[in-house]
Formats: sequence, structure tokens, C-alpha cells
Amino acid sequence: MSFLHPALLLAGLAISLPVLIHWLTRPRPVRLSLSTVRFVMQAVQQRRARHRLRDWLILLLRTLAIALLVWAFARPLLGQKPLVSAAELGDGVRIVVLDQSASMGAAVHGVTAFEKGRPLTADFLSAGGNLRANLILAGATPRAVFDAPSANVGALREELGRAKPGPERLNLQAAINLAGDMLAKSAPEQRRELVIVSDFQRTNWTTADFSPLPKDTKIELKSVGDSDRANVGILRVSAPGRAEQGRELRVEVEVGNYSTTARDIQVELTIGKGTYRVAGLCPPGLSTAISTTFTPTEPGWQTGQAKLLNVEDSLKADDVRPFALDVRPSPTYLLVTRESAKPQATSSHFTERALAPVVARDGKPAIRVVRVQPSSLDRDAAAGGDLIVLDHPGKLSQPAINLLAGLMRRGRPVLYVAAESADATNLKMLAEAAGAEMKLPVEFLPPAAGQTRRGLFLTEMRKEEVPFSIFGDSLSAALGTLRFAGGLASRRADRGLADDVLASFSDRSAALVVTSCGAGSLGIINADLAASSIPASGAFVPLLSELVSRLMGTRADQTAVNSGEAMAVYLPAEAGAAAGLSLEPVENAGQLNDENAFVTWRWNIAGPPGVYQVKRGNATLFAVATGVSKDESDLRTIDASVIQRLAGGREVHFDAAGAGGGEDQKDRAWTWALIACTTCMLLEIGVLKAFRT
Amino acid sequence: MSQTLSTPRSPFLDLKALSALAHMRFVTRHQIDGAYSGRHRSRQQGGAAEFADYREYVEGEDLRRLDWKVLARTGRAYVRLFQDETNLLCTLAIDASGSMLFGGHANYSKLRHVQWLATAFSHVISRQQDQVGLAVLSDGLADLRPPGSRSAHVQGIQQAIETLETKPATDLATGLRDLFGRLSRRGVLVLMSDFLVEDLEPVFNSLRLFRHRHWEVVCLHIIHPEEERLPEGLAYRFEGLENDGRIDASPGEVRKLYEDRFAAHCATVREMSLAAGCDYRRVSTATPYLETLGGFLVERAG
Repeated sequence: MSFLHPALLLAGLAISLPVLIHWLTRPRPVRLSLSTVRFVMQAVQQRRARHRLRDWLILLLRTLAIALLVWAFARPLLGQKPLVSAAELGDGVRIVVLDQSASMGAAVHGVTAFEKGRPLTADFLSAGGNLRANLILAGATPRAVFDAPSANVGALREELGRAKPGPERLNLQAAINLAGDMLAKSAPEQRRELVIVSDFQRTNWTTADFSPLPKDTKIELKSVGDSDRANVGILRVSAPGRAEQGRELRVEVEVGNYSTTARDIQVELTIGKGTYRVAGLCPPGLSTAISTTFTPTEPGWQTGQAKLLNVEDSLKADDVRPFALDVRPSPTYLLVTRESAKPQATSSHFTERALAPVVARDGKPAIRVVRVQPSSLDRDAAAGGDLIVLDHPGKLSQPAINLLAGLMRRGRPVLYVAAESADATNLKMLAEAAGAEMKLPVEFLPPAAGQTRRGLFLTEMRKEEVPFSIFGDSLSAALGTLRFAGGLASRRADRGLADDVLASFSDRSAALVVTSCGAGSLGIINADLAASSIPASGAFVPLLSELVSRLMGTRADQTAVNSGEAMAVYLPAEAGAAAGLSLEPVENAGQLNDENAFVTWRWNIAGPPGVYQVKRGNATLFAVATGVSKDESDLRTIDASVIQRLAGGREVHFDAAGAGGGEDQKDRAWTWALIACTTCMLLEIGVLKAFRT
Repeated sequence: MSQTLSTPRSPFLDLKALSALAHMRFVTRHQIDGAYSGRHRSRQQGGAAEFADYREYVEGEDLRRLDWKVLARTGRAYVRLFQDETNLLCTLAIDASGSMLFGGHANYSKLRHVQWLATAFSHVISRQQDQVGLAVLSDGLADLRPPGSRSAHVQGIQQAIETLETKPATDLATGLRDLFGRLSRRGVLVLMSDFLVEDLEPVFNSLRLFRHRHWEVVCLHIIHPEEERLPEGLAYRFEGLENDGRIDASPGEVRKLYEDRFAAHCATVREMSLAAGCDYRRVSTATPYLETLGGFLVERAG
């Protein structure tokens, strides 16, 4: 325990005050000769016997009251003694890590946690004797002021003065690692100290690992966070599925309410020139998705922002979040097959009809299906298809396989109808070309010689998953009577996810597989549709439609990036080559490079919240929206006991009080002391009353 | 008479005031022994004083007491009994301990009051031709003047009363025992004391000696009003008058306890006096001594 005003402890001498006051204010006795003095003596003795307890109680209570009063004025700071003292110099190395993540910008009564932490950090940036210090500003990427600890405290403080919280999350582990490297390089006999000034958000700190630090490092953790900080933030803005021109689009806004009460939230969505209002009730401590719909009239990239209205909270940085939507025209499916385009009872015909079942009034289908011969499958041909469907493609060439794998990695969905033995070879080659980015749950094999795949029916359908979920309780009635033929045998692969097998046949072979590959996905229907009864079933069109929606909707959302973090995305194929592309609104928003016939956009440190676009001329080819990491919105702090567990046996002192609201918490003992003092005085009155004095 | 002229009158003797008590006499309640014939009933029977009773003649008795008239009338021999009357031998025993010096704020001590009272007593007793003596008790029997009735004797007693001096130590019981040994004839013992002693029992044991020898004992309990309750004020350093120490106390805190204890002391003195067959009278210095004496004499006269 320490004291804010230790000098006031000298006032503890006042404990003798009651006795002194009693002695000083004792009336000077008047001498009086009395013949009956023995009776006075007896009376006094009798009274003393009766009041001795009272007198002791009164003296005790008065002394205690004064001691408590002195204690209160000295402002005791409860808690353990810090391991690292700002005033303690000497031979050692001290690394001070200051959290400059977005959450440090959260304000209580107008004062941000960062501003509370700045003087606290400055206190520890002292050098004297052989003490050398360094400052690490910890955000998404930790940045040390010097490469090694230095005695140039002035420069460290100067840098500290310029620092401010950024719109990024705290990469704590990177900061610890960096500090560990510096401390490890110090001489073994030197004292090693690590001071971390942070708001100790639960979301960042629960995975902290101090093992990179030398064992003898003394770790002082200073919290400037306040658990009472209530915050509401926009965590995500997205449009599930594919945004298409002229088709109603649902935009979801995920709002996190990290306060203690439910909140009525209003969000203003600005998309292009349109403004929409979304409202909803957010329960406390949770994130809630509220949504609205709008119909994009023009294709192309739509940018906008979501903004919380009429919200009083601690952190303003997450009250606004920009976003970008890629509104595509009506989809075009690329059907790669060597079967004839004539309307015959072929698998590809059934597939084509199921993919585009609706015919528009002008006689043209709303969805275009373009047939492509496998030999003609190249980059240009693939560029026009939003979904690539392979049905009886025969043996594909290696370039075609590589192209398909590359397209999948960049987010292009592929649907493979595996009916022939050649398809087993194609799928094996595709898996090899995709590498680690695709892990098929099963390995497809040609049926064994003499084995006829016929009369198979579906089992183990995952009815809660798309596409089967659309049938609800009538799933068995709709699909249970279907019989399948053809297709490939399959066996379980070790590295894949069993959950990717959505349905199996009665012979235990996989019937339907959906797996991801990079940003895209691959769906495999293991049957010869022409030999199966499903095309004649009314369930075929909705089943295939749901499956296609799932494949196209699972494209990883690459348009939302956390500020301050590294970013690497493949541009869509229509972006062409890197030459002639420009970045807006800032040119230094990363680099555009040609890689494997595609363009990659790499940005080591994504910029502050905003929308960044790749353009060729005036046309926007791709856009990303940067924003504050959702981890930063939850301002709840970690418990001290968790910190001790994370320390792994190292010497750690967690100062939950710190310099901010925690300080109040730590410094509240004086109020209790005053209350106790008052209680003592009231008790004194009570004792006097009880003894009828 | 010449002696009277040559000896100055005691300042405690106010003849003018005492003239109000001229018609009063000190009457004993018990039969007493006296040196001379007087007005008091003697413990002796005989003589030709006051007829008391008849008793059958016993052979060998003095025939002069035989009632011949009754013998002649009834044939039976009866002896006439007469109550002898004698004079009073009164010894004034004055407690001259240090506590008697307490005079309170008015500086009118118990001793002073006793001096007035004892002087008046001696005057009244001598005036009715009785004998009066004086015993001064402090740490023992400090002074003894056996009963006498001559004017010079009385004046000597009054002078001794005038010049009474106290001693810090007190041993009332020893003084009384010494007195008992020194007085050979029965009489009346008037003890004037505040009875502020460590132990009352020895005192009353001594008094019981007197009572066993048929002395009439009168205990005058001298009390100063300021002894009955403590003075007002925040703090006092009370100092004893008989080397019994001192103590600082706030009267307010111990007043009630003190009053209870003093009242208990007074009650004890009274009870022990009565139990010992003594006459008890509480005498407050706040009451004029003439009033006290007058009341006492009236009560005695019945």
C-alpha cells in the first residue's frame, strides 16, 4: 500500500490528540479541604470501576477516528507495491509499451484513456545512471522509437508527445515480441523492466503470451481503462449474397452494444446518393445485426458509410464505418461441357435449364448461360462468367486446371458435376493445383471395375444446411424418392472437413460436397444427371438454385479491411494487367502487382477509415473499405486474475487503478476511511448514551 | 465571685441568648448516680425523697423504713420505698479530630459550632446545680476535666472549650475507652462528634462500655451542610483533613455516589447509636446552636 500524500502521515502524531486535548482542556482543580474525602475517594473508585470500560472505549474510538482521518488525508492507494517504480533508476533496461489502438481514444468525461496514459508513460521514460529506455507505440504494427534502448529520454518523450491513438487494433503479441527482443539483447546482469500502459481490453489481452520475454523481466502493467466505459459501435456493414443490379439487396449492419443497458439504435446508411435509416433494439453486451433493403439501379462499385445517430458513448471512432459494395449485372454462368448444345436429355442440358429456368418477357433469359468447350476455356472466356459449371468436361488440360484453381482462389465459384471417370482425374488435379487453399473432404475415384453405380438414393442429408434447408420438413418427401446413377466412388480424405460433405449416397459415397478454396468455393454433385431421376423432379431447380446461391454467396468478403493491418487481395479478372491501374484517393495505398496472370493489391498498413478504390481511368474496378477493428469496440477490461494466469510465473504487477478511472478505484479508500471515522464518532456518542454519561 | 471577675468570659458564652433557655432543664431519661442530692432520679432508693412503692418486709431490714400504719391496720409488715434524687454528672465529650475543622465556604466549622453548643450546654447544666465535665478526644483522650459544679470549674471548662485544638489523627474509640477508665461514677456522656472514622465499630464498642455501666449516652452527630452534597464546579482537588490523602474529581460525576455514601454513613451512625442504647441526635451546623439545644432540652423534658 502506498500513499498519495505520505507526508501527511506525520499527522499521525495527532493520535495522541485525544489524550493531549483531554489533558489540556482538563479543568484546573480547585483545592478544597473536605472532611469526607474518603467518601469522595470511594465514589470515584466506584465510578472508575463502572466507567473504566466506557473510558477505554471512548479513548479507542477517538484515537481510531483520528487515525482514520489522518489515513484518509494521506490518500492511501491500496494494492500491491509496483514492481517497476518510475523513480527507480540504476543499471537496467526499461521498455515502455504504450497502447495506441483505437480503444485508447475512448473518453470518460472528455478525457481519453490515451491522454491519461501519456503522463503515466512519461513518468517511466526516465534515464539516469545506466538505465536505458525505449518506447514502443503499440498498434496493429508495433513501432519502437529507437532500435535499441537509449538514454535519450528527451527524444522518447518528444515522440510520446506526438503520439495519438490510431484507428487500429492492438497487436499485443507483436509488441511483446518486439519488447522481448530488445530485453533479450541486454546484459544478463542488468535489470529488465517492461511497462505496458494500456486500457487492457478483454478482446486483446485474453491471448497475451509473455513467454518471449526473458524470465527475469519485471512486468508492470498500468491500466488506464475503465470498465464502466459504455460503447456502441458499428462492427460490420455487409450485403450477404451477391449484389445484383435491379435485384433487391439486403444490407446488414452489425451493431455492438457494450453497455449495461439495451439501446434503441438508429443507423443512417448512405449508399451512393441514397440515404436509408435502419433502427433496432440492441441488447446489452451483445452484437446485433439490423438490416434494410434497397435495389441498386446501376451496376458497379457502390460506396457509402453507416453512421450511428444520437448515440452517447465513449468511443467515437467506431460510430461511423465506410463500406463498398460490388453491384454486379445479372449473372452469367459459364457451362464448360463437351456435350452438345442441342436440347437433348443430356446432363448439361438439364443443368443449363435448371440454372436459367426463367425466361424474361422479351424471350431472353434473365440469367445467361454460356456454353464453352473445355478446350476453349481460357482467361478471357472465364472472365465473363460469374459461376463456372463443369458438366462432362472430359479430361481437362493442366492450364485449364490451373486457371480454374486460380479463379477459385480469387473468389470465383465453381460447380462440378462429376459423372465420368475423367472427372476423378480432373478433381485430383484441381486439388493439387489449389494446394493448401483447398482441402477436399473426400477423394473421388473412378468406380471399381464391374461396379455399377445405379439406384443410389440420398442419405445423411444435412437438412439444416443450404441447399437442403429450403425443403424444411418435406426434405425426405422431396428427395427421398430420387434415384441416382453414375458418378464417382469416394473415400474419406484425412485433411478435409467432414462437414463439407452435405449429403451421401446409400453406398456411403459422397453425393454433394461444398468446400472453400481461397476466396472462392467449389461445389461437387457426384452423379450423372442424365441417368438419374432428379432432373424430372420438381426439387431439381430449387435445389440447384440454392446450391448456386450458396457457392456465389460464400465468396469471402474482401471489401472490408481493418485499418493499420496488412492487406493482400486478388483483383477480379476483369481488372486486367496492373499497368494503367491507379489507386484513389491516395496513391500510396499499397502496391499493385501482376502475379500469376492476376493482379494483387498489397498494402502493408491499411490506411485510416475510408474507401480506397482501384481504377482504370474513371472506372472503378475494385474497392475496399477500411475501418476500425471490431475488437476495439468492446471496451470491457480484462480481470487482474487472468493477467496473473497469463504471466506464466513471471513477476507481474497489474495496476488496475493506473492513472485514470482505476486510480479513482484505487484511491477510494479515503472515502471509506472518512465513513469509518464518522462511524467511530457516532459510536462514541452511542457509548456515552449507553453509559448514561 | 472574684474568680469570675478575674477570668474573662468565654466568647462562646452568650448569656443574653441563653436567657431564652432559662426555664429549661436538662433531664435524664435514666436513673443516675450523683454526688449530691438533686433533682434527678437516683439509682439509689431510700431517704425521704419521693415515695416510690411498697414491698414486704424482709427480716434484717432497717425497721425505720417499716410502715407502721399499714402494719397496724392490716397486720402485715410492709416497707415503704422512696426514690432517691440526686444531682447530674454530665461529661461533655468533644471530638477534636481534624475533620471537625471543616467549615465549608462560610468558614464556620463543625468545631466552632460544637464550641458554641458545648459552652451553652455547660452553662445550662451548671445553672441547674448539676456537675459538668469535659473530655477532649482526638488521637486519644487529649484532656479530661471531671464533672464539677463550681463556677470556677465551669469557667475552666468553658475556657478549655474556647481553646480547643484539633489534631490530624483521630482515635475516638481509644479516647472513649480511656475516658471510661477515668470516670468512676455513672452519669451522662454527651458525645459531640462527626463520627468520621475509618471504622465505627470500635467507637460504639467503647460507647457500649458506658452503657453497660448504666451511663446515659447521648450521641450528637455533627454534620456540616456542605458535607451532605458536593460543591458545584468542574473539578476539585479534595484534600483530607486527617492525613487521609487527596483526590481530583469532578463533583458532577460522583455527586450522586457521594451523596448515597454519606447518607449511608449517617444512617449507620444512627442505627449503631440506637442499637447500643444511646440517644442519637443529628446536629447540623446550619441550625443555630440555641435552636438545637432548645429542641434537645424540650424533647428531654418530655
